[in-house]
Amino acid sequence: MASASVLVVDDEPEICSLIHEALSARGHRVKCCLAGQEAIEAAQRESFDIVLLDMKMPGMDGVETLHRLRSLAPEATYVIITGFASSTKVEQSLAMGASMCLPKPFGVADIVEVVESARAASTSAAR
Amino acid sequence: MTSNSLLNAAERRSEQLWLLAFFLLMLLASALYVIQASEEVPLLTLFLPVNRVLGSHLTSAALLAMILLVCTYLQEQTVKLRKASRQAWSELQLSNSTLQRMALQIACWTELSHALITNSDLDQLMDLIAHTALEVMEADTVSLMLLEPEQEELQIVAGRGLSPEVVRKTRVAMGSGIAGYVAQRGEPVLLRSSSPDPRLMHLLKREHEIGSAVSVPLMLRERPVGALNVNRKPGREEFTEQDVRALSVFASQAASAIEKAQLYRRGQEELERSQEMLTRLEQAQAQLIHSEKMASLGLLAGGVAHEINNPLTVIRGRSELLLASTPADAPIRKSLELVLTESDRIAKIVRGLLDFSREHGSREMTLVNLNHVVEQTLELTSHIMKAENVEIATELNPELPTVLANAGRLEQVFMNVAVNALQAMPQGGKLHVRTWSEVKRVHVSFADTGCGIPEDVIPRIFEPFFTTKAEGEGTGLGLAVSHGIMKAHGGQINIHSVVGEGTVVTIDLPAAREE
Repeated sequence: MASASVLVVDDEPEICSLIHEALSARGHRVKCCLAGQEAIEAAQRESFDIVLLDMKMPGMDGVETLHRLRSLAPEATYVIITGFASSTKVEQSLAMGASMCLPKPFGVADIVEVVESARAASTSAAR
Repeated sequence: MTSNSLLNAAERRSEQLWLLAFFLLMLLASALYVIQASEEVPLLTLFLPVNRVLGSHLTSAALLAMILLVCTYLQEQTVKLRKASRQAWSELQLSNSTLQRMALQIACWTELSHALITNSDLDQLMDLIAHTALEVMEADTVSLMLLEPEQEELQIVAGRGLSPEVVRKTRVAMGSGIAGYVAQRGEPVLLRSSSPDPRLMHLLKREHEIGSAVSVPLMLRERPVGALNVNRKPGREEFTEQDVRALSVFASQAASAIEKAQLYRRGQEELERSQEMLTRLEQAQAQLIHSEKMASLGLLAGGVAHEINNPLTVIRGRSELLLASTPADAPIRKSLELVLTESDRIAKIVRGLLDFSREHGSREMTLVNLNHVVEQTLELTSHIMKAENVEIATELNPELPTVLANAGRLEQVFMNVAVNALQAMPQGGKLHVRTWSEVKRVHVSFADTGCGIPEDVIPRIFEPFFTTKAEGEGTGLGLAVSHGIMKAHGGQINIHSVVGEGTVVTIDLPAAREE
C-alpha cells in the first residue's frame, strides 16, 4: 500500500492527534489543522491526497472550507467527518465534491480503511 | 226551538190565561149581578118562551156550562204549559252538560298549553299532544303526523290506540288520504258515518273503520307542517262542529310548541357540535404543544449528540490504539475491552438521539408499499419470535395504496414496535399484523397478547428517555424516535392497550397521490 499525505481539519485537538497517531502508525504522512483558515494556508504550501474535514467548526465551517480547499486542490479526495451536522450541510458537501461521510464516533480501523481505500481508488484512477 | 223561546212562549201563555180568567170572573160576577137584579124577570125569559122559574134555572145552567168550558180550556192550557216547561228544562240540562264538557276541554287545553310552553323535549311534547287529544276529545285513536320536508310525506310521530307497526310504517303523501288532504288544503275535516261527505269518501281507505273522525291541519305561518287526527269507533257518539273548532285551536297551539321544541333541539345539536369542535381544537392544541416539545427536545438531542460524539471518538480510538499495543496476556486488556464495549453502548444511545432529532441518515422519500416493509421487518425478527414462542399472523391487504416514505426509517419504526411487542410477551403469545386503507390513509396495526400498558403510562410513552424496561435494557428512545419518524412522514402512531390483554399499536400514513 502506497503511503498517502493526509490533511486533517477538526477543531478538536484530541481527534486530530488520534487520527494522526493511527495513520502515522500505518506510514501515512499526516498534517493536522484546528481551523479552516489554517487548512487553506497548509494547502497553499503543500499538496495532499486526502482531506478529512469536520463540518462543525467555529469561524469558517466545513462547507466553506471545502469550497475553498477544492479550488486549491481539486484532485484531492475529501472525506467528511462529523459528530452531528444537519443533513443539509452533509448533502451540500457531497454535492460540492466530497467523496463520502464518516460519522463520529468512528474507530481507528474505520479511519484507516477509509483513507487507504480512498488512496487505492485515486491511485488506480491515476493509472 | 231553543229553550229561551220555549220559556218565552210559556210565559206569554200564562199571562193570556190570567187575563182570560180575570175576564171570565168579571163576566160571571156581572151575570150574577144581573140575575140578582132581575129576579122577577130571568134573563133567558127575555129571549126564550119559558116561564120565569124555568128561565131562572136555565140561566144558571148556561152560566155553569160556560164556567165548565172555561175550566176545561184552562186545564188544557196548563198541561201544554207544563209540557213546554219540561222541554225547556231538559234543554237547559243538555246545554249545561255541553258547557261542562267545554269547560273541561278549556281546562285541559290550558293545562296543556302550559306544558307545551314549558316542555322543550320534542318527543315528550309530541307524546303529550297525542295523549291530551285522546283524553279531551274522548277519542279511540289519535295520530299526530308531521311533514317530512324533503320527501313531501306525512309521518306519524306520536299516536294513541295504534299498533307500533302502523306508527312505524304509515307514510302519507301530501294530498292523498284524509290527513294528506287536510294538510294540503290547510282546512279541517269532519267525517261522520251518519252523514258521509261525498267529496271525502274516496279518500277513506276501506280498512279504516270509522264512526266519526276529525282531522285538523298543523299550520305555521300559513304553511302546513302536519295534521292531527282523532277517530271514534262506529256506535259511539259522533264528533260535532264544536269538536272541530276545539281541536283546531288546540292544533294551532301544538304546532307552535312543536316548532319551538324543534328549534330547541336544533340549538342543542349545534351546541353539541360546537363543544365537539372545541374538544377537537383543544386536542389539536395539546398535540401541537406536544409536537413543539418534541421538536425542542430533538434540537437539544442533536446538540448533545454532537458534544458526546467528539470525546467518544477519542475514547474509542485511544482504547483501540492501546489495545493494539498491549500484549495478549496483559491484564489491562480486559479493562480496555470493557471501555470499548461501554463506548459502543454510549454510541448506540447517541445514535438513538440523532435518530430522534431526525437530522441523521438518509431522508430520501420514495413510493413505498407498506406490505413490503412489514414483511421485511417480520422476516428480520421471525427467528427471535419463534425462539420466544411468539406466533405471527398477518393480514395484509394486497390492494394497499403506496405511501411516499423512507422505507429504511419506516422499517426502523416497525422493528421498534415489533421488538416492544416481543418484550411484552415473555411467556410467548401472538402478534397479529394487519394493513388496510381508508379515507386516503394507509394503516398498519401490530396487536400483541402481551402484558399491556397501564393507562397512566400511555400519555408519557413517546417522551424521550421514558422507559419502563430495566436499566440497560432500553434507552427510552425507541418510541420517541418512531414518533419523530412518523411525524416527518405526515403520519401518526397511536397506542391502545388493556393491562393483561395486550396492546395494539396503530400507524397511519397519508396515501401517495396517484400521478
